[in-house]
Amino acid sequence: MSGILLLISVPVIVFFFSQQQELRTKAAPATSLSIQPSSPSIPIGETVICKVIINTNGNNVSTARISLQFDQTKFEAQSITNGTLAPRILSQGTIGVGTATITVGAESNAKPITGQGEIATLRLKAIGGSASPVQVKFAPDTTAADIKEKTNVIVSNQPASITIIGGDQTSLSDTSTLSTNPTSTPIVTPPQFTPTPTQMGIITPTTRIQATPTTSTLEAFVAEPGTETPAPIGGTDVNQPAGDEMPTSGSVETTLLLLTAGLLILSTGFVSYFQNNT
Amino acid sequence: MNILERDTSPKFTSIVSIFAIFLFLPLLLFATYQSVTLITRATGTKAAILVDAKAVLEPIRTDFYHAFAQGGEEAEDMIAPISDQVKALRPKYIRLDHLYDNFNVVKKDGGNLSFDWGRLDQAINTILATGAKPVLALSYMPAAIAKGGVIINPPDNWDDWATVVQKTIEHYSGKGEKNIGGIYYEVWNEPDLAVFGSWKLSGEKNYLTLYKYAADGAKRAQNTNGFYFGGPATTGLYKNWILALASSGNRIDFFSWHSYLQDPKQYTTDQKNFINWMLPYPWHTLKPTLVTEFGFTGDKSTLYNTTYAAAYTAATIRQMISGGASYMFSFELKDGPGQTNGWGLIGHQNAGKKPKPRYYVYSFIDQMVGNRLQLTGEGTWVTGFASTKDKTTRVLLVNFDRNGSHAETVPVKLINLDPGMYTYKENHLFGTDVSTDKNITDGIFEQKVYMAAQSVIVLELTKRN
Repeated sequence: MSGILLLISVPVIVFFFSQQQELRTKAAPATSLSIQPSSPSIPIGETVICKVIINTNGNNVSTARISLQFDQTKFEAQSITNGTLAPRILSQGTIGVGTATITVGAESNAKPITGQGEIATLRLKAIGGSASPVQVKFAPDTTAADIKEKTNVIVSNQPASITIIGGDQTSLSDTSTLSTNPTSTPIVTPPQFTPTPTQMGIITPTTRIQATPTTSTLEAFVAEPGTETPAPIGGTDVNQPAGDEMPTSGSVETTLLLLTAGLLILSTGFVSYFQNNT
Repeated sequence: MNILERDTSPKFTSIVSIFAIFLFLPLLLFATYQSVTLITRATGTKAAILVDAKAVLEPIRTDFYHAFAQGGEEAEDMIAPISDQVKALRPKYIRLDHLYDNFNVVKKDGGNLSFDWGRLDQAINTILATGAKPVLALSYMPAAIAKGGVIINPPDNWDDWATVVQKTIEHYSGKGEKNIGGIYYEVWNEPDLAVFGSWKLSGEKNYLTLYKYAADGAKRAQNTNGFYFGGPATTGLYKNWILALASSGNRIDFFSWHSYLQDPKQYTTDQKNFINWMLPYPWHTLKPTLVTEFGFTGDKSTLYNTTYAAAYTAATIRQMISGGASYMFSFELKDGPGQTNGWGLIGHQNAGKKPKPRYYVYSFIDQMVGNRLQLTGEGTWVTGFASTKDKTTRVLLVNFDRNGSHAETVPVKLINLDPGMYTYKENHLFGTDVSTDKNITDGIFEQKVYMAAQSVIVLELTKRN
């Protein structure tokens, strides 16, 4: 009997542990990112297209937040959008001074991002010359999430260096690299996602919402008066033709009058009070 | 010493002085506030729009804003009297709440629940007739099973609530019954609001309990078409509610909330926040997000009757045109009876069923279908986006000023155009369209466009050969 149990249990245990190992192998962070510019050098005033390339190396990526940095005196971002391997834009591309960010996603959990391909595209306009290549690199908050993992699965990223021809050829800020062969930057400790503990307790809506009036028996319902606005603020009533003139946007005279009157009366009050009490 | 000083006691003078201070100090504060408001209204950045006709970005979705919610001001099918006008909006989804109270669906006799779907079916049939699919906010607690018969209370028996949800899904999504595919079932409506129960994330009125038993009911539903199940349908986007639901272990096919935000740009911030919160839950990041009610205020307002509401809606759609919510539900389709300051896109039938300016925004924006083009130079009041389709480049601009009546002349420049003859059109949402021919030789088109307060315009440049 014990022999039969052993005979059955061994393959079961082996199968179980092989499944666990398979899961661990597939879920371990292994994704790398790189930036491929459309040209290694461009003249001032021209635009370079930088493709962000992902290689998932076995990860099943659902979401990637791509944050890019560059010298704001040399490049001006024009737009950032998704690439063919990331068909969904989950968070609108944002362009700042020296930064560009977008969060992209897979088509669905059933069709995650796998393999190698383009997940984002950044368009940069060269606005300042440089004697050395200018780097476009990933910001520290660049992350990629595997469908089954809570950790960031990016293990390395590779910036790009672009030479800008023309204009002021003075040396760059310390964000540039002198090397023409950009080296990948290994990430020793990927940033961990820490689920924020949920806060239990009283929820206070930040928006005052007018309850939907109803004739049903809502005992706790008390109709609140709606906000009555004497006249539309800048809006055009449907029965009045829109005017072309610029209407006044506030009564300055009334405000100044109130301010002056208030100050005068306050001072009078204070003076009288202290006169009579000293 | 004058007569006042001689005949007035010091004590009386003190009292009058203090009274004057307390009376006029609030006025002084109010005047100071008004001054600050005046100053801030005057500041802002004017737009200088630049569009690169060769910088093609992602395809534009023109379906996400064809979603509408109807409140329950009347305990009947409110959409039926305006169904033709609603159909013209080409709705994808129409949301209803007050399912169980307004339509008297559930009865309990002894220990047995019975369901009369007749009146609710009429409302659902009206929705289907407009071409839309229903989004059903499972609300509120049927009086027959609610504690004390109060519909914003928990049930006496949670299993009854699960059964109600099960039967609802089996009736509308059931292959042997209404047989509707792709319905969204949303657990409750604004559970955090006092009038809808002031549910919390713990305690006796725990929304997570409400959701769990609803999910149990959904799980038990048999022989149904595919459907979506989610929540929390709160009055705003609240991190603790979203994360509590995300980590609850229940079935969640979508996340929903309401947004009544004065600043359209806050919608973009909300979407970014939501995605960032979901990154530790990557299996949730790709799920649909539904803003199941939105507007500039949750209060009734006469501004809903004006171009203010139209411009606001256009400005909000612009913010959501890339990386936005899956669907944005404008609240609401029709005013309640006797309302002169209602949220409706359309007035009540007793007031002539008149469409308001906001009604026309959705079809107007539909002309922007195509691929998005790179557009820079938006300002504080004037925002926009551009698209290209076939030989036509379009630029939608909206001038929305939430504080006043800002008008602006906007310089618009399109670059990298192919040389040739073009037809230039200005399509005004409210105003007169203009059209002219342009010969573009250097790939650049420039135009100064006057935008009146709270206006929306589409500039269109079509190559003729």
